[in-house]
Amino acid sequence: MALIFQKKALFILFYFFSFSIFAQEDLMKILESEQKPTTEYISATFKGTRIVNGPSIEQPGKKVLQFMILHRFGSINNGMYDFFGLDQARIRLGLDYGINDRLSVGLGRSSAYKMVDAYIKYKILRQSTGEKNMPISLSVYSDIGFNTLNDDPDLNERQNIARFSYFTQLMVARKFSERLSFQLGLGFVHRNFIKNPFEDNTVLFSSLSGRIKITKRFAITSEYFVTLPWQIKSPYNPSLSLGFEIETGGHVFQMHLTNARDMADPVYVTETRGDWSKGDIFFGFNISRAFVLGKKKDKTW
Amino acid sequence: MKTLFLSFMIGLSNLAYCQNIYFTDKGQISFFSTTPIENISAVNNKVYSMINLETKDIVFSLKMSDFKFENQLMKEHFLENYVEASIYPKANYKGVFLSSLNPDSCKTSKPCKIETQGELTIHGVSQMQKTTTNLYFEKNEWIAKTEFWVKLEDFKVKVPQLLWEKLSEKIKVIVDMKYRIYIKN
Repeated sequence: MALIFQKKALFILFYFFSFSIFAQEDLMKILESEQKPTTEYISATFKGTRIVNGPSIEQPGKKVLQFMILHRFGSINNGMYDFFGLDQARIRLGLDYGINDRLSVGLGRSSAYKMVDAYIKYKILRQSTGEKNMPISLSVYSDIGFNTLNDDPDLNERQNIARFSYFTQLMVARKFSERLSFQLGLGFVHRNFIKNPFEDNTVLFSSLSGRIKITKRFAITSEYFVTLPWQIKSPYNPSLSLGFEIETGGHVFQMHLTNARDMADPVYVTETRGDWSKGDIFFGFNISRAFVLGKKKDKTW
Repeated sequence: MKTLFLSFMIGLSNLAYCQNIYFTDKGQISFFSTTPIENISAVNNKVYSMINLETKDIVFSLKMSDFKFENQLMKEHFLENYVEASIYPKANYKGVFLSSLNPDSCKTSKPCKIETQGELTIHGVSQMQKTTTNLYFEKNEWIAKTEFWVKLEDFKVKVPQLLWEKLSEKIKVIVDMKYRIYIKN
């Protein structure tokens, strides 16, 4: 009898002893069990709001004003005389503003056709994991351009409406891993006036872009735009660009080789003259600087 | 009868055990980096933490992606290049109070200063951390405040020596917690 009692007492003692050990060791486990599942939105599928010329699914961010300079030198195959194109330059200056994390608007001015353009970009779906699982990001981008050349007789004899062109693209992107992102685009360009009557005013195109991160700060990018072959005529080619990105914290510096010399949205789709096989390609860079507007001055924390 | 007594004892011990635990899922931890060029700060309002008055244990857990910055690019940069949040999504702290906590002696007018010692894990690297915490008990809540410095180097967070990098090597961390009694769901 006494033995049984001793055994039970031992059991009780052991039980409480083990329990207090459990309490000490597993406070972290209790805490972790309390943590609610949340949705993680995938960030930095691409580093810039443009991959080379074309838009990416990325937004500047809420209340961020971004100033972007796109710059292309002359053709590399001009050789030493032109210092491999560095003597010449074309440019697009752009301002982008994030109204919220999903919606942004922008203005641009390009050397091509002295074009002024305005765009709107909206992120419809955001790739996420966790409670809400979304395999892709989906954005739509729409741009309207106005040709301001004053020495084109064809345009001068027409109404101003002839000077407008439009670019709309739907983009699906996925960040497959920390290193690898792809984007597929489908869209159309409409030009109110075209010089070659054998071309179409409305041109359908698709695009494929990618980014491979090599180190924390360096990435290789590429971008390809192709139209339906019968819609645009020689001497125009699909545009292919290969780029190299350096990230410096707040800035993204993109350098690339491309056969598309012009950076205005419709122009690189329908009027890319450069030819990779002839070395008729252009060296260029994009730089952007972000300014945060509407900073809270009274920090409550 | 004996079985009844035993189950009663277990139930009682369970109850006592829960009463000693205080919990928050809305704790606030912010950090500050100050350099002559730029001041960077971020705040996380979703910090999970628990204290066990009986065992004097204190634990923290937070998600790196819950830090709010004034600028999206800063956050991206922080998550991707500094703390590598895709590999190390959380930061944890597991520590103990070096003296006991008594609700009656730690009042608003006279907060207790208690040393805590424990293991802080950021970026997958654990370091011993010793701080002094100000605590008081008010309206059934424990209010705890502390601040300490973190050296990025200690947690193998690499800051490149480039001119345009504007991050201080030592980061000030401010912890602001309000615990209520833990009721298990």
